[in-house]
Parts: sequence; C-alpha cells; structure tokens
Amino acid sequence: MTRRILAAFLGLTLALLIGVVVPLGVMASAHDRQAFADQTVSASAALASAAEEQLADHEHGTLISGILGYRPALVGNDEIAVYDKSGHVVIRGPAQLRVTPAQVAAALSGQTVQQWQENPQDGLLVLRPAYSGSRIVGAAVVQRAAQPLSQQVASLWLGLTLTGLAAILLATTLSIALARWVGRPLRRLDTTANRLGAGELTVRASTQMGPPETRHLAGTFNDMAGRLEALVGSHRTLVADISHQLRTPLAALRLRLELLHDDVDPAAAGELDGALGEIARLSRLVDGLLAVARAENTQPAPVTVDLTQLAAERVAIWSPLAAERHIQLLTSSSQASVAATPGHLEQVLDNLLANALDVTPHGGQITVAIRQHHDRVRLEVIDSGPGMTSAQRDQAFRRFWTQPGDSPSRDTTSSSGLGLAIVHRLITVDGGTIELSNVPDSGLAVQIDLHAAPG
Amino acid sequence: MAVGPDETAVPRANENPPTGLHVLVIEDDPAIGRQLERGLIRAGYGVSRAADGSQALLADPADVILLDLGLPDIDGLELCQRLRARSSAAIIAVTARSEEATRVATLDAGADDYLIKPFGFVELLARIRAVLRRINPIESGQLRHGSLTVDPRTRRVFVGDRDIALTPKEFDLLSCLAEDPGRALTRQEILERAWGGHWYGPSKVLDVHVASLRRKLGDPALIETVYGIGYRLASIE
Repeated sequence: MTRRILAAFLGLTLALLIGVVVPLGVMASAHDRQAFADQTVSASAALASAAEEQLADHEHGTLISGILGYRPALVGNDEIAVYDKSGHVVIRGPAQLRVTPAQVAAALSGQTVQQWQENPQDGLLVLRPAYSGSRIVGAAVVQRAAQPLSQQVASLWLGLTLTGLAAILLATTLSIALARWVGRPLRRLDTTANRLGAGELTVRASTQMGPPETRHLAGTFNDMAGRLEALVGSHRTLVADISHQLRTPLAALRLRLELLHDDVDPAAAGELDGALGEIARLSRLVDGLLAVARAENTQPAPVTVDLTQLAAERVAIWSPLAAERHIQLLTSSSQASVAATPGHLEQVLDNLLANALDVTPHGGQITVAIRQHHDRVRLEVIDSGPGMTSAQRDQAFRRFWTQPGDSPSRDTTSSSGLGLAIVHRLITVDGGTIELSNVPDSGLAVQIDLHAAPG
Repeated sequence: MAVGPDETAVPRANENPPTGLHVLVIEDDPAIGRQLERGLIRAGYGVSRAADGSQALLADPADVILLDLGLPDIDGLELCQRLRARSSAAIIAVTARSEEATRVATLDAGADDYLIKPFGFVELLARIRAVLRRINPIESGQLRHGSLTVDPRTRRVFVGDRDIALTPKEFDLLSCLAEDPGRALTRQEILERAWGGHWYGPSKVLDVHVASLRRKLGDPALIETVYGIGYRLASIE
C-alpha cells in the first residue's frame, strides 16, 4: 500500500510539474527574451535618433558626440554601428559585427531587422532605419550580448527545478507518512486477526490508531472477536458441562451393577461384566471429551523448550516397552530448541509413540528424528507399520476417528479416536503444523513443524 | 473391555474385616448414596448417610467421611473445611470435576484424598484402606510377596535386601498389585488406582510403567500380563 500511495503522490506531483511548471518556465523565459529584444530594439531606436541629424547633414564629425548622447541607452558592452543611406559604415565599435549587406539594405528600405546571432554569445542584432522626418538617412545597428538574458533564464530554470525537487521530496515524505498512518494500524489489525485465527480468542485490536475508518474497522473486529469468544466459550463449556453431568449417572450405574454382580448367578454375571465394560468405555469417552475440551481451550504460552532433550526423555521412558515387544526405538536428532507451551510436546510424543507401538510389528523399528531448518524445527515420528491410505490420512485428525480394524473394545483409550485430535490441537495452538505421510519401505511418518526458539 | 468375574466383585466382609469402622456418606444423589451404603455395609463398614451439608454437620462422628463436593446447600470445599475443623476423620472428597485446580483446592481444604466419578467399589475400598493407613500408621502392614516387600507407609520397595528406587507412579502401580497378589487387575482398575482415576492419554502409559518396573525389579516374570485383562503379581510356588 505504501508503494501505491507513493506512486499516486509522485505521479500527481510530476503531472503538475510537467503540465504547469514547465510551460510556466517556458512562458517566463520567452517573456524575458521578448523583453530583452524590446530593450535592444529601443536601444537601437535611441541610437538611430542620435545618429539621424548628423547623417542628414553628412557631418560625420559631429556623429561621435551624437553617439555619446546615445550612451545612456547603451548597456554594458553593446556593439553599435551606423550606416549612411548609401550603405557605407559611418561608425562602428571595436568588435566586428556580423552584418550582411542584405540586412543593411533591408534596414535602409525601412524595415527593422531583428536577428539572433548564430553564436549565442553575440546575442541579438537589431538594425533599424534612421529617419529624418520621413526620409531614411541611414541605419543604426545594435548588437546586445545575450549573457544577462541567459543568466536570467538559467536562474529561472534553476529556481523552477529546485521548486520541483522540493515538491517531489515533500510528496514522498507526505505519502510515506500517510501510508504509515493508514498502513500501520491495518498491519496491526492483520497481526491481531492472525492471532485470533490461531485460537488466541482474548486478543483485541487497538481502536486508538490510524484514520477513523480503520478505528471503526478495529471496533467492528473487536465486536466480532468478542462474540466469537463467547460463542466458542459457551460451546466448550457445554462440552465440559455435559461431560461432567454424565459422570454422576455413570457412577450410579456402575456402583449398582457392581453390587448386582455379586447377587446373580455366574451366567448373568458374565452379562454384567459386559455392561460394566461398556460403562468403562463410556467413562473413557467422557474423559476423552474433557481432554479435548481442555486441549481446545488451552491458550498458547510458549517458552523455550529443549526439544532434543525432551524427545530423549520420552524415548527413554518408552524404550522398556519397545524392548519387550522387540521393537527398536531409534532417535536421530540434532540439537534444537522450539517455542512451545510447557507440557504440550510431552503429550504429543506420548500419543504418537503409543500409536506407533500399536502398529509396529515385532522386530520393527520406530524412529524419532529432529532437525532444524532456518527458523523451523521438524519433529518426525516414523513407524514401520502398514501406513495409512490418503483417505485415512485426511480423516485422521478428526474427533472419533479410529483406524479401520481397530476394535474399540480392545483398548479403550487408544481407540477412542481422540488422541490424534488432541495432538493436532496441541501442535496448532503453538503455531505448528502436523502432517501425515507414508514412507516407502517403512510405515507412517508423522511430520510436525514447530517454530524454533528465538535467539 | 473384557472383565473377568473376579475383577469387579465387591470384596466381602470376610476378605477385609474393618473391625467396626464407621463411614459417613454425604451424597445428595439418592441413587449413588444408596449404592454406596449397600456396598460399604457389604464390605463390613458401618454406614450413616447425609443428603446435604446441614445434615452432614449434625451427623454422628465417623472414621471416614465420603463427601460429594456438589451439594445443593453448602459449597463442597467450605463444608470440607468445616468438617475438618470439627473432626479428625479421614475425608475422601468425591467430585465429577477432574480439573487440576479442583484437586489441589480439595486437598487444600483438608481432604485426605479424592475420587472422581464414575468410580467402582474396588477403587473406593482401596482408597478408604489407604487413608486409614495414613491416619493410623501403626496398623499399616508391609505387603510381602516372596522376596518382594512393599511398605505403603514409607513408600519403599525391597527385593530381598535390595532397596529398589521407584518413581511414584511405579510405586502406586506395584502396591495396588501387591495388595492382593495373584488377583488380576484390569487395566482400567490399575489406571484408576495409580493415576488418580482419570488419566486421559494413551493407556499404553501403563504398559510403559510395567515394563520399566519389571526391569527395576530384576525379574520380568514377577508381573504377569493377563491377556485381554490387565496385570497381576505372579503366584509363588
């Protein structure tokens, strides 16, 4: 936006300079030139009238004093010459004047001749007839050097150029200031919107900056964020409330069935066991929903976490179980620290390692890899299970998704279908991303990209 | 989850005679209150009930108080503090809310332990025994099983003369298995006992601790996997 405002301002300024200032300069310099010519012409008239009497009397001797009378009209180093009516030079200054006989003839025939000399130094040549009454008695010639004129024109153009540059500078400064005034609050609003989008629902925009429209926009944004927060809050409270409310009847049911269990014959007791199993499943589900509600409700509070050390600790904790199952648990990590909310990555790794151990056959291996690339750190957990189809990968982060063939009654936790949903939430709340892909000759790779810790 | 008939049975009075101990059940939900009363009587305890806070404050003294925190008339934590002020009974708070803050607040208010709904009798009775042991350490017996000794009071474990350093979770896991050697505990039961009821996360965390416990005890066969059910301490020939 800064660029556009700058372009608009500079465009307008240049248009004004070209459309108005340049013609003004041209006009002014033409006017100066005309004035110069007029002055030169009147100087020649003064010379002609001074020379007139003497030319009429053929008294060349008195001509000099006549010329002296003309002096006041002379400027600086005007070159002058006087011709008599037959075209002979009567008097002329020290320098040679480039006067052609045709010009003299024209002047003697009654015309006033103005000629800008080819050599710009020489300036303007004016020839005019000298009259005695109505009779032409000779011609007066004045050549006035153009230097003062060109100086005047040059300083005019210099002034105009400086004015133009000042205008461009002013336009640039103003447009940058304007762009900042308009742009900064918009950029802040953008940052705020991004944070809101990332789940930081309490964030609000400043309504004290920028043009009124932006302030109004910030106000509207804040209203929207407030409503969103209330809505999401009530939704989460609802999930949590329902889960809590379910626990009391579940407790009553469980206690009742357990007591009944002792009073019935063994065949019926078997049925009751099944019912108790279902209650256990339901309780797990309630716990799971609460865990999801909690995960979704977490506010990011990232600190610097030594991911390498954390991963090594989790791997050490899980390795006895892996060893029992004859699964190799490998790590390949370079030193990396990330910005993450404390406790999140432990949960993430526990869930991922549990899943990986579930699908990896005896003799297989699981790799935990960490590597840093600029300001991102990739954490990868690769199992040697069967992998997932792309349809399964698309669904895997949804709540209640269970891997086909995963019997819900076998293990009531890992197949509640909430583990990956929680992992996804815990990663994204800290600004990370998570993806699943199949590794050729291996199994599923879970790839997590996290922000490297600053500094 | 397949549950064997032995795992959910309420322990009979003769399995664990509590010698005339009295439990006060403070519970506003009549269904739960009645089941608790029946189950505790069956397990050999004397039981009285209160349906709200004002009744609870008028009740006869008891050895153990089961206090539901969600009562209609008095805030559960406040009642807990008032009961604690006038009685030295062991208080086990019962709540439907599992948030960390609630747990901490409950313990701060003077409760000795807490249970999160829905719980079963096995867990309830184990907790009652545990709080009684803590209040009356003289009665606490070490649990012995072959060369394994588990001391719930000092929370130490020996194999022969060797002192085994365990994490708190490993200790809780081992002690609930050692309370009744040979009996298979379901995964659910062990998670409820050792993880304060409502661990939500991969339940494989249990297998992780069992694997690490087997290593530390130096005898992988001591803790047996009961496929499809859970774990038990291997019986000794």
